[in-house]
Amino acid sequence: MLRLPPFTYHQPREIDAALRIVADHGPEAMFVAGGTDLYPNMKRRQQVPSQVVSLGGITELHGISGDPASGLRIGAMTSLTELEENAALAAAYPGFAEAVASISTPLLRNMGSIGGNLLLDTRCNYYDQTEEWREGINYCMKCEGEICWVAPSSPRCWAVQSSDSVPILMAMGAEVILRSPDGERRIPLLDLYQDDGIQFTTKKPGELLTALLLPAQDGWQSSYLKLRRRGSFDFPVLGVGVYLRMDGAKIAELRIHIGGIGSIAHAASDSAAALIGTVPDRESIRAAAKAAFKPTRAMDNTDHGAAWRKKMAPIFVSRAIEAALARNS
Amino acid sequence: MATAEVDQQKKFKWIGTRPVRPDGLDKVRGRANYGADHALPGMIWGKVLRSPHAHARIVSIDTSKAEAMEGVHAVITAADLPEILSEESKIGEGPTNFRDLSHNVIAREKALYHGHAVAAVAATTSAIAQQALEAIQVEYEVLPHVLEGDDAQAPDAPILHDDLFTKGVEPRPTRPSNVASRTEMGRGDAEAGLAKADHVITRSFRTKAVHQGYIEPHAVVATLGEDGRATVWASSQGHFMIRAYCAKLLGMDQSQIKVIPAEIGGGFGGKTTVYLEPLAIALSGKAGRPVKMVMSREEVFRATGPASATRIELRMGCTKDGKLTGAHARLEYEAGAFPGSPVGAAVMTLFAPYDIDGCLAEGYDIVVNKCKVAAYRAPGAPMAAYAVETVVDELAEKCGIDPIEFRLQNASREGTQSAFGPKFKRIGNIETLEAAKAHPHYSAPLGPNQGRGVASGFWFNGGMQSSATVQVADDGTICVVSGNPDIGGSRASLAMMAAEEFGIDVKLVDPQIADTSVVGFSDLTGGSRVTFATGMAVVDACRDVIRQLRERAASIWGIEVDAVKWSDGAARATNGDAGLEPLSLRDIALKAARTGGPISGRASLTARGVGMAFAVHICDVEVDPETGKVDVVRYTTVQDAGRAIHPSYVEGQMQGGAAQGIGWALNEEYIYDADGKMENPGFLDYRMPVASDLPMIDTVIVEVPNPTHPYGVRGVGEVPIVPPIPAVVNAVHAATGVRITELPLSPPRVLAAMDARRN
Ligand SMILES: Cc1cc2nc3c(=O)[nH]c(=O)nc-3n(C[C@H](O)[C@H](O)[C@H](O)COP(=O)(O)OP(=O)(O)OC[C@H]3O[C@@H](n4cnc5c(N)ncnc54)[C@H](O)[C@@H]3O)c2cc1C
Repeated sequence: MLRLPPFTYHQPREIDAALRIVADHGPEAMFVAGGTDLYPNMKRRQQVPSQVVSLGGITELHGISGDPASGLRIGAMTSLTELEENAALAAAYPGFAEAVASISTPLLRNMGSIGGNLLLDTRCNYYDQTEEWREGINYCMKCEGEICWVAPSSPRCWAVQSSDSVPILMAMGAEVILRSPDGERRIPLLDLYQDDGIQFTTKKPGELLTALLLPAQDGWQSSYLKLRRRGSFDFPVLGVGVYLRMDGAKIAELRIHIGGIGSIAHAASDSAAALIGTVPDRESIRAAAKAAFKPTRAMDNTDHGAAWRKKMAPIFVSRAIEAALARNS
Repeated sequence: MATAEVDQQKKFKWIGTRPVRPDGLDKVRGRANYGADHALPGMIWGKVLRSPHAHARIVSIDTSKAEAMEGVHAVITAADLPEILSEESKIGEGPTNFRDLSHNVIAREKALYHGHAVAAVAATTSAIAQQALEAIQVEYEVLPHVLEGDDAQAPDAPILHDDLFTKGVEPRPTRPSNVASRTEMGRGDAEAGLAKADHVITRSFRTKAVHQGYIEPHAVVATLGEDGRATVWASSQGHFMIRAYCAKLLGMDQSQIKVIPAEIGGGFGGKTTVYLEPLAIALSGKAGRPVKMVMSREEVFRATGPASATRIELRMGCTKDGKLTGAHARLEYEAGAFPGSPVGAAVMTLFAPYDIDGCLAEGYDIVVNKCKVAAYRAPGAPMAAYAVETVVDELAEKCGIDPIEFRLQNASREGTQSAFGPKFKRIGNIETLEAAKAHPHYSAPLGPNQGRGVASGFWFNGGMQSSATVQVADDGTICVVSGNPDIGGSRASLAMMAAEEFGIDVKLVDPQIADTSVVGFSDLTGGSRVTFATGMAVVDACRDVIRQLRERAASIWGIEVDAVKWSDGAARATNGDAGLEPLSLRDIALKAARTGGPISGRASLTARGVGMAFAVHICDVEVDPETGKVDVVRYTTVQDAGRAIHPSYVEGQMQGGAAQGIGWALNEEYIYDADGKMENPGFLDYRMPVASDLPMIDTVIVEVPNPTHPYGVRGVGEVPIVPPIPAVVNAVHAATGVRITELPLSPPRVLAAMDARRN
């Protein structure tokens, strides 16, 4: 049995109190939401905060407000199950709902929060192992070690962006609110993430993610397509989010983000550009999707070989576009 | 054995019904006590230090720092256990040599695989035990290692055991080898048979090591007192096996060890040997405290016994009109670090469904620097069936004959000379094939990118030794006591057979599993034997009790015992004595004190007349032409159960075997890095199918009763894992035109095969 390391558990009721505890303890402290990512990591000693600050008791962080016509505000502590079961949300943002419903398992979705999902740690076969296992390879760059075992000559870490909601939310142009003792800032998800396996967000230490903001839903369609071995449990090893708006028979706007295959959910901008302003058909979609091969920097650090996953990217991009188009008609 | 002939016409009251299982409520309510649930006052925690090398000489182990740590009560190494001489075990499942077993439990001189136990500690908390492990200093001399069966046979391969000489070859080898043994089995002249064939298919197959994937990790609590007596609480497939193995490995008498069985959270063959138990006893002896040990999932994967990785070369031939004439197989099974793969069983079973004049199978047992394999449901047979059943499919296709028809034409039946020795007695091979052919699934239309495959499977099933006692309480209820851990619903079946014998409500029967000091010796729960063999012991013990009940009734009535019969839960006078109202079980039980004392019966036996099992599976898959992903969209299992005592648990076995076999076919595999370190030692990365990956698995129970069992039982637990791999692979062929000869059928592999065919 793997056991948690000892830690002090805090249960603040107010955002400010939570921020203060984290400010007081510095890097020793971490927030915990559902704990479905943090606790397994702590058991494997990938993350070992001595102070764990629970967000569960802060009512302000729970719940959904607003409406699709003007945009939704989703509190960071809203559970994935709550999102999945929200019919209005599924109707307005089907791609996002699809992504949420594909996360792990029903039990984990009961516990897991959307905030935790946005800030899910990056993953790698050499990192997501027990401490004993990692000690056996002398650890890796992301935690306690020097080297990146997937790319030993690389100066950077290649751990993989593995949250299902991120690619579609990036494509949607969703935003988040981050709060610190110094105040609040509202940034697009595009600015929250960066291409590094270790420093994969621009969130400052001690900043709390309080809410996710979905854009007003005016004529957009969306889809999310996930590649994984099994129908549940498994993290994405490729996840394509598509957001588009039609102008008659033509695609007016199209944004595609590909997750599960690099440290950031890259935009497949070339594929999108090739289709914008055109009347799409099966051929043109397949042709455009070929360009999605490029932004996918697959490494051999997840399930399935890198070569096959890379090959799957254009196929999944085509299928995700087709799914969004089918929804539109 | 006083087992009666089967009365096939008899209507049963309980046999074939579906009462709630006696252990069910506790399990769903979380009250059942599994291995890790037990605790004792003063108990401390044991942990194992494992080798970080696949092959290394242990130069020295310095435990002094660990011993000096506060809270550490004991540290042991191989030096704390007696040296064991080479000796073959008579019990357990599969061949076991006690010296090897001892060396597997804790490495002596050499660590032979990554994860091999080298030392163990016991401390007041598991955290301290963990720190103590880190304080143990082991000096290793790293040796070259060999991970694959092919490489292990190379002339310059690193040798695992200097004293291992290939058995079964002439002349006797003079150099040690990683090939532990060669066995062969056959019938007639295989080459002559192949020469007669119009079509001969030659193929080579590879499969990877896979784990049984039981949910409950190995767990034990042991206490060894100053008087030299030990008590062990453990979850296993056989507490008598644990007693015997621990006694042997620790140099104790079996009478000094009592083993109390816990509920078991799955075993599938993987809990038919010992890992932690001898260490826990030794640690407890040294610490003077009870010691609890529980494996992590990673330890379960790295250091218990998966199924062998295999390589099989097969040639099979038939005439133009589809008569199999000859077959030859060479099977190489990896045993892991010590000899003892189930290749012998594979050699015996692989041609069993067919009547082939000339067939020969040669098996090679090969050691490599990986964890020692253990039994896994029908040990050795699924991989062999993969080879035979896909080649049979190909031959049927060559002849233009429907694959079930082809199998029927060549099916072994009662009287067929088996390749492994005896002539088949009453078997249900034909009936099972006929039932599959008639099933609506077999003729249902298929969608685009879909294909259908079928495959047969065979398993001998086990008999072995069992004991039971049956006690009557003074309210007329019954306690049935046996010595077999219940891994598949056997308590329900035993209670139902007892209820049937007595003619009473099954709710009045309490089936219990007793510890090694309470009930007679019972071989382990394996070989699909419990409902069959322990069932026989229970029936015999019930009949012993019924004889006594008749005697008591006779004495109450003052008539001859021969004039009393037992039926429908009561003693009845047969000669029409007027005024003698039947005496129920309760009536007699109430008077027991005055008619001779408590009533109990017992039986111990070696069960003979095992009913062999056949199964046919039908599988539909849909293969994504762009990704190579295989989805099983419909699946039907057809199996001869002899007689299904509790059909739900027979169906459960059939579905479980199919699910595990599908996982084996599609996704599961031990992945090792070049250093012999397992890369996926957890359930997230070792991918067993989950509910979302399987369709409802349909079941058809065929009943060709086993004439030697009082209720016609054949074992049902193992044969359902034999056909799934070839059924899936044949279905993939039907859908795509490609025949894949290496497992697992992961999407990249299937896509590569499809791409190769398209180009
Ligand atoms: C078996 C298994 C399978 C899984 N499969 C998937 C999958 O398929 N797809 C997927 O996307 N995820 C998967 N997950 C990961 C996880 O369950 C989800 O991502 C979940 O949404 C995480 O949310 P949480 O609330 O549990 O996060 P936590 O574990 O509580 O937190 C995750 C991280 O975010 C930080 N954090 C959380 N909330 C905040 C906040 N409001 N402000 C600042 N920091 C915060 C924490 O400090 C921590 O670093 C899986 C997990 C498991 C165990």
